[in-house]
Amino acid sequence: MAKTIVRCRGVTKEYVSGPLRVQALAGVDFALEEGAFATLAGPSGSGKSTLLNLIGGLDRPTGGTLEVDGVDTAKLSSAELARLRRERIGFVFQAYNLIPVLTAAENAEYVLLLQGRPEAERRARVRDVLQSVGLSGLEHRRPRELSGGQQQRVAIARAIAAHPALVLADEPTANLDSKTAASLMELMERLNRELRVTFLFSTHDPALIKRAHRVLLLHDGEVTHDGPPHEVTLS
Amino acid sequence: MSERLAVARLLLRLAWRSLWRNRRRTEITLSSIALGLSLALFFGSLAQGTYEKAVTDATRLLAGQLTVETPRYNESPGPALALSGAPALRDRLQAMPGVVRVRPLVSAQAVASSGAGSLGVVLIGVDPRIERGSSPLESKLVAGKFLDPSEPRGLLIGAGLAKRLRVAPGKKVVLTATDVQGNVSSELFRVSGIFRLGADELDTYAAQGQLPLVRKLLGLREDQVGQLGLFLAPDGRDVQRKAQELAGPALAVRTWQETMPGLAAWIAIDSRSNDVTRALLIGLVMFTIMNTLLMSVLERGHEFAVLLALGTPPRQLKAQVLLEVVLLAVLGCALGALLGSLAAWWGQVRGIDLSGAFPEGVTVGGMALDPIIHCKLSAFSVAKVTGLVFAATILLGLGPMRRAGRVDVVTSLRTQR
Repeated sequence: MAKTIVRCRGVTKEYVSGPLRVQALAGVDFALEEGAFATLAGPSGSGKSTLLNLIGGLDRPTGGTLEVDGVDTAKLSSAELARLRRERIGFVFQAYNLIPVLTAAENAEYVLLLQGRPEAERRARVRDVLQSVGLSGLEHRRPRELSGGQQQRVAIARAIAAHPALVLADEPTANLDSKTAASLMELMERLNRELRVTFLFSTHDPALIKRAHRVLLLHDGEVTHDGPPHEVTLS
Repeated sequence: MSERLAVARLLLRLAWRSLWRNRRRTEITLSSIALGLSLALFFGSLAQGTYEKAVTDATRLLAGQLTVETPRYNESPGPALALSGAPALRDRLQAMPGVVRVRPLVSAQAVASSGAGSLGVVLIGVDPRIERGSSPLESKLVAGKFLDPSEPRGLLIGAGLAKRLRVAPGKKVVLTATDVQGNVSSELFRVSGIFRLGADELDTYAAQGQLPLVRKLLGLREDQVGQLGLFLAPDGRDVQRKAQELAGPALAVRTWQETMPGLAAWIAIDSRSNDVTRALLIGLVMFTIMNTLLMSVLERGHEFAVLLALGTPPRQLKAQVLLEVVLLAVLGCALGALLGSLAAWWGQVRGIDLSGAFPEGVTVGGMALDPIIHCKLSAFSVAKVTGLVFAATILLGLGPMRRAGRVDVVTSLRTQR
């Protein structure tokens, strides 16, 4: 039986701004197994990014329990959350968010350095992940010298370099043209298939939703559907 | 250990490259630090050179760095308060470690007269054998020559006095004074040389003659002088106390600050005023730097949020920002110290001619100052001012550093670049 990487039980998130209260998540329940290739779908404001932030340990739920790789994130201090992100979670952002002053290889190496991995291991992993994402030969280029698609590949390389339990990707193809987006999805699928990397990504794009193995459809902060993509009706 | 070193190298790489991300801004900030520091160093060394020159000239002309005299002499300088046994005391003081030269001196109020008129002057009697080579008058002669022991009636007078009395070198001047007995006494002198120091009070109202004749004029014995002036070696330590022990309780050993309080007060006031000016200058520069540092952190909020999201410990992010400030401070201070030292060195070697700016001459604390000022730079002052600017820059970096560690990750990530 596959290991559970994410488990949400009645997760709520409420934002309070003065007299205004906004219920971003209204009791989310689901579990994600190791090796999953799942997407969070739903309209803008449905709570996709909020849920990804909570799973990623960037924010804390208002209610319910949320476990990542067996750890209840609500019980962790800020430093422990940072450690959880560093050790067990990889992030891919919509705007790539590479460190502009570091080269592709240095960006991919960044989290490994934070983890205190030995130099030989770091070099081998960086070489391997850049090869995996098809960027061999571009190791010494800085982000501004790479195309959008290449930058997002570096971001994926950075996210998987440390062999995290989970890779969270928030609209990873939103800034790419459809051809590059499709190629990036192929890459993520291949990494999931070959390296058993667990992916949870959010997207608006119906074409990409169809490529996921599992779709969690969010609406007004609730999971309204959880199943394979062919069962989902997208409006 | 090697992993910690790897993180340190990463931080250094991030800080260094981030510093040059906005090249123009970094160059402007570095220039601000360098300019502020170099100006502070240069003007500080110029002021120090001015003070040292003023003190050196004043002590060489009037007394010494230390002065041995009777206790009430400074209240009413004159022959009545002269000290006795001067030759023996002079020999013993001269033998003291840290004493370079001991200078016997007699001074009194007198009236200088010629065929053209009379004028009140301060008459100083000196030993030309001791004065030669060190008296500031020697290099300021505009006519005639310095005092010569073979011409005992020789007299040096200022250009203003020479003009008033309408005398030239070789001409006679009669000096009249009240002697130690209270009688009016006169002696004939012959003008050896005419000096121009640039200060009206000295050029018009001072005259210098030879010790034996001035003593005779004032009715003093051969073993009597008004003061013994001591010139000290740069490393002379505790000489005042030792000289006091040697001179005994009947005599006072005073510092130049006590014998020339006007000059000491001017230096103290001017020095404080310079400190305030330099503090304001550095403060203005620091304000610019603080602005730049804060802007550099505020505009990278999104980037810091990404680094924190990836699991960067906040203290590491703070260390990166602090390292950027340290690099900026090191570069700016190194450049500023180099430029300031070079400018001060140039001013020390070549001297800065202020005669154009002060055609009437420069007078400080009643002393004429050479209009060509030589800067005085010491390793200590360079280290002190550079250290202050460095520390101030680092202090200014603490605010932006704390801010970097307090970035709200979720809010900042929502703001796409």
